[in-house]
Amino acid sequence: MIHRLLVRLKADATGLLIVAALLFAATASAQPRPTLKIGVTLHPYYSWTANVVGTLPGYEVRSILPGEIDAGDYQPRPEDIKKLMDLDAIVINGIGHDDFINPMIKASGNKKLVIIRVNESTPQIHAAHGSGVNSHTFISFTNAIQQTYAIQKAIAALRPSDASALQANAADYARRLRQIKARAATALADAKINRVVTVHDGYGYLLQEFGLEIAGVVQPQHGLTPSAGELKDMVALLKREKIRVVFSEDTFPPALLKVLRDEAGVKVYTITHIASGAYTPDKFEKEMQRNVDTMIRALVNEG
Amino acid sequence: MAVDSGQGAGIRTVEIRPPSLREETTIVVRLAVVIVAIVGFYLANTAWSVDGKPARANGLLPYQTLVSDAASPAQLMFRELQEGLLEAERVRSDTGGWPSPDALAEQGIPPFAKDPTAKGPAYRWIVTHRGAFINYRGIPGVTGAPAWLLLVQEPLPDSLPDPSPEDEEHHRLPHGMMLHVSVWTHTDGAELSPALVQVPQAEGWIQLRVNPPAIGYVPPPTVKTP
Repeated sequence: MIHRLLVRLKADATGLLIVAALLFAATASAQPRPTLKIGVTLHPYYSWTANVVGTLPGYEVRSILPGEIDAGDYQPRPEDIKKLMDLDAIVINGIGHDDFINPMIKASGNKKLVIIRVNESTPQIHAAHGSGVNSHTFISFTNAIQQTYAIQKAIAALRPSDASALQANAADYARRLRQIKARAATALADAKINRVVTVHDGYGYLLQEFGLEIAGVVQPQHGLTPSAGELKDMVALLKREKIRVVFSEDTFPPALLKVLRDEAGVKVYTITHIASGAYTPDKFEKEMQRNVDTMIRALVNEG
Repeated sequence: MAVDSGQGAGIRTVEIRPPSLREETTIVVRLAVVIVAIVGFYLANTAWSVDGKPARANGLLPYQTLVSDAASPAQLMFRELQEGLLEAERVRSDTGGWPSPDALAEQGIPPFAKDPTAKGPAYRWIVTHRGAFINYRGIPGVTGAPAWLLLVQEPLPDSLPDPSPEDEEHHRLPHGMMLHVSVWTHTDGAELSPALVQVPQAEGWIQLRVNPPAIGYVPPPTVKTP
């Protein structure tokens, strides 16, 4: 009798323990997980990261710089340093385009921040002038895809439970970028012009992807306007090499472009380096579509 | 140097004499030799190398070169192979098998898909797989054009987990498998045997790298496969 009672009590206790464990597990899984906060320094990184996390719950993608300021003109501000304080990870260029971020991170006191250096495995080309590398790796379809996957892997390491979904998102984004590039390549196969001059040194990766050559770069250094002598040399190069197209950027002084048009008889087209404006997930796709449309107009339709 | 100590008074007089001209010259010459040796050692390891090629101070081995120093078509091919590899790895992690070049080409993935703007030779891509080794090989359609090789090495069954951090040569699949990957080119592309390559540097292939190898880099273990 006592033995049976003991057995029953034991069974009841085991049952209670199982129920308690199940309740605990259910409560734990029902609790919302903390939001993973990922910062970005440049506009393309915002688009890529936002597309990697997609609609998955528990993520925040945060731009550190105000949208209207080009990273090249940026001066760190206290309110931007504050944005770094509670971040879990940050996506940075790390090869010269966002050098301001390192002292900002230090000033923020955020010791747990994971830094995602997207250029770590990206091959770089030499800058047109000087001995440095061309840090504009982001103006490129191939690099964008490679770096999107780099971001995906870094986030997956922080949230292993989302690894498959993050990879699927990255693959979907890569597919869309590849479609834009493929349509452009089909059109550019008929290009009458294969050699151009650019105002800005940032288009080397993009033009290389379509087999286009750069005969020269007008800016002596990123963000600097050429001197009168340098402009004269450029006009001579345009004439000598019979260059008919110059790809410029939004902010280059119109008066200097007029010199190139008037003296060398070139046509000038603007390509964006995706450096300002609102941070949106589709910004990179839209602006790269605009860029390849401009290239097709310049090199195929009007060339 | 002479020391004259006044006993009991607690006062010492010390005369400090400069070294003789000979002693001083010896010290200066020795110091100069040390400086010249240090500078010479530094320059020999950074600015020049014995063969006159750019320095190996960056840690490159004789069969390695940096992509940034390669010609534009090679830079582009490298970037496209990186993209193709990432997509092949995705298929590998999803399905357990490596995709064929044709399957990748159908999805428009470079360099397997046809590129209408390509200026160089057309490539025929093949994949070979034996044991832990996978080769994606680009064979040029004309002689004198370079061949391309994407070499992937999977871990051996029952091997211990690879603790290496991810970098350009270490790619971890989502389920944890660590792959060793590398990109190679060979000048005599059309003349090569299409047989699987396990040790490319022994067959005249040149490895393209984004960064010089890290100090203390340990290459993946070579294994014999049936």
